[in-house]
Amino acid sequence: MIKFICKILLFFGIVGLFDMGYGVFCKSLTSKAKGGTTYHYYYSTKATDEDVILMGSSRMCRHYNPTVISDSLNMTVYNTGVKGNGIILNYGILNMILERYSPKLIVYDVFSFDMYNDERFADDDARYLDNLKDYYDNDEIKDIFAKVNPMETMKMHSMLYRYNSKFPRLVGDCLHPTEKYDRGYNPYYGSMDYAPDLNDGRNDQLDIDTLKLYYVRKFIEKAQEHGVPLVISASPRYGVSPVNHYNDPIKDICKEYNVPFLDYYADEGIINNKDYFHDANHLNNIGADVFSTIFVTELKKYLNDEN
Amino acid sequence: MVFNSLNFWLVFPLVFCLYWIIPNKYNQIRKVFLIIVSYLLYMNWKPAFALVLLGVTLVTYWGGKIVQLRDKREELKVRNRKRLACLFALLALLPLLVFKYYNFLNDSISSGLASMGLQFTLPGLNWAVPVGISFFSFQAVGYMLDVYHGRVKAEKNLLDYVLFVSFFPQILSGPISKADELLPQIKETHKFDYRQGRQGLKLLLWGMFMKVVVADRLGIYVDLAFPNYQHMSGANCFMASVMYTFQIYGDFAGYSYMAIGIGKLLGFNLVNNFNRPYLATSVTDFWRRWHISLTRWLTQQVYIPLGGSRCSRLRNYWNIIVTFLVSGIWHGANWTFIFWGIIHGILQVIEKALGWQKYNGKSQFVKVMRIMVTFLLVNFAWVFFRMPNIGDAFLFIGKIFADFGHLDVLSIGTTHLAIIAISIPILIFKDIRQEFFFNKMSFFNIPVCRWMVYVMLFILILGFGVLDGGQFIYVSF
Repeated sequence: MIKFICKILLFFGIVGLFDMGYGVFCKSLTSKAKGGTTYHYYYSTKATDEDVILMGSSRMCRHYNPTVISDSLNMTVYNTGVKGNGIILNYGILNMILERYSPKLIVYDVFSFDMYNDERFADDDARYLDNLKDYYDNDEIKDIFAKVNPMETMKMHSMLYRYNSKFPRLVGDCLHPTEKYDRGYNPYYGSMDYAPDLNDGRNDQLDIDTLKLYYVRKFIEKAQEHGVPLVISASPRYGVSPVNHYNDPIKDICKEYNVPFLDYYADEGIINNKDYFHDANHLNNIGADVFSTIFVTELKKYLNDEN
Repeated sequence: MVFNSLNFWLVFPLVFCLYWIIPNKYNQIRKVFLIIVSYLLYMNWKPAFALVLLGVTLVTYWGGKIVQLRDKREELKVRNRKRLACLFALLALLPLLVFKYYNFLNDSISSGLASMGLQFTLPGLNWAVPVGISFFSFQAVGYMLDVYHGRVKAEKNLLDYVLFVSFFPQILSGPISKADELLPQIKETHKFDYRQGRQGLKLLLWGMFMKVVVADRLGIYVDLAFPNYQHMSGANCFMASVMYTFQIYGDFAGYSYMAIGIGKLLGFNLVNNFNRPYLATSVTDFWRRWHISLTRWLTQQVYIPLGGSRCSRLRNYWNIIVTFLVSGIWHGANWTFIFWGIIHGILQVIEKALGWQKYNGKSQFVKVMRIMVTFLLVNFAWVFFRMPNIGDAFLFIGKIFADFGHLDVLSIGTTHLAIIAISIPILIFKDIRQEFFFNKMSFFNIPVCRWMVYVMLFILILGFGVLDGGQFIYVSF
């Protein structure tokens, strides 16, 4: 038994050494990325200095063209939108941005990842921690982990776990990045040529996730604490009903904090036009340009009124 | 608590240490300890489930005692014994039938009646199915039927029997142990055996690799592809079907290996449940390699009592179909599983009729062709296992043949593709090496090489395994 235990300890000792070296190597790859998603994440958290920061999920990433917004506002713009992620990740990103500087404006595009449970996943909230693992050494990020899933804090001692499944992407983005981002903007090309299933609750309030709404409040409070103007928006979604309650939970919070909510979720000029959509949830590049133009016009009016 | 969760790995080292700290002379205390751990782990799912487990245990325990042939005078009451055996088997299977099949039967009967213009619906049940109920029910009923057939004596020690049914490594997903395999091990005193412990760790490591690196990784694409097959080319559908074939192997065999590994760490040898099934040379051979413990159970408790092969040819074919019909029903409460079972039954009947069950020839080319054909047949049958209904399964398969189109490998995502490109060849290499080159490549026996392999597998598990819900392919349809 003693021999057995000793061999187990030796085994974990060898793995532990590799684990430490792996962490150092992956950290250096992260900072050396030439492009792709790795560079996008790194720039969003560590290097942005733009006047306007756009934040949200893939709908931010694909719907809001920084060039259109920048030209209209005459300000520098960066789109930090992260695919498949919402407020839990973005609260972490916001903290890391505000540690370095205060942008002149933040725009946040809301979607289900910011307010509803996703029943496809057993531990829905914990999956949004994946892109924060690289920054776990930051105290604010540690707090997010502790709140969302305390068990994750134990796993974070392992660098192999922190960079779990990221190695191929890190290497790829250092050698030959394939995903192209234009100031964080990563549009879809091509139109939807099928009739999508619209029975996915896109007009209704779904199962509310109180933790997500907690972080929506924290996000707003953090921005207000640093004196950064915040605008929350909802970009168009294909085929929604003109009268819907999908975004009501966040609209209510915006009223509570006196934050403007620019609602284009059911914009009739866009939502029924398949030529503007790549799929049922995302605009294509043409739709994104049309929407960005409409959005920035309204945003300018709001900013002028505020001034 | 599943074996690939952090919670289990916080608890199990403690269980391992406490178990082996208990001196050998207090074997009863060790058994009680294992029973307590087994029930606590089981109750972690839902405490009320433990009542179902205990109920099935007690019914089959007492059933075994009652139906046992005690003396020659009992032979006069054969008919009564048979009725009692059936009654106790039915009682023990009742929770399984109710929890797993009530809603299916209710919906099927209602649909059938509705198609004839009749309206009759019973209320549905909204109860969660106790985890592992298919496994521990079959294990317990198998014991009782073995007692009835005189293969084993009825267990007198209730504690030993409770542990037999609830033994935590195997309760969730098998293997389904036979009484004459596991009960004697429960009775004997175990001393920690270094080689057995080492073998257990190796199986644990390999099983975890199969589950989290292979199966769960493939599952990310499979879960996206199967519900959205209408938007994919036939080539991508075929790729998804092959990925599912490996996913289900990695998932099931991986978990079995972990169960066997944990059993070995506690001094128990559980039956091997998988034997390189995708290297089978026929569907009949496949079932000697896939879920071996279930095949064995069905052979002993369904196929042989029906007459097995000791009957007319047509009756034998019927027995095969019925056995695999039962297998299909056991796997799930949906017509797709029944259809899947029947497909396997029919394929084996065809093989038997043509004398193709085994290949004893010397031609490697023929052997390889048979392996590939068997793989493809099993692969297409798995589509019925995965799809929610038979219609969709046929449409999925139809798409592969009628609309093959262009294979878009990159739709998997480059990260997932890279990891799959590493993990699947490792799995295939290991199986092929064990099947055909077991005594070759002896450098794997050098301790340094072995350790490199173990460390590499562990690094792949931590570095590339699906360890949380943060990994997905984000595509909308």
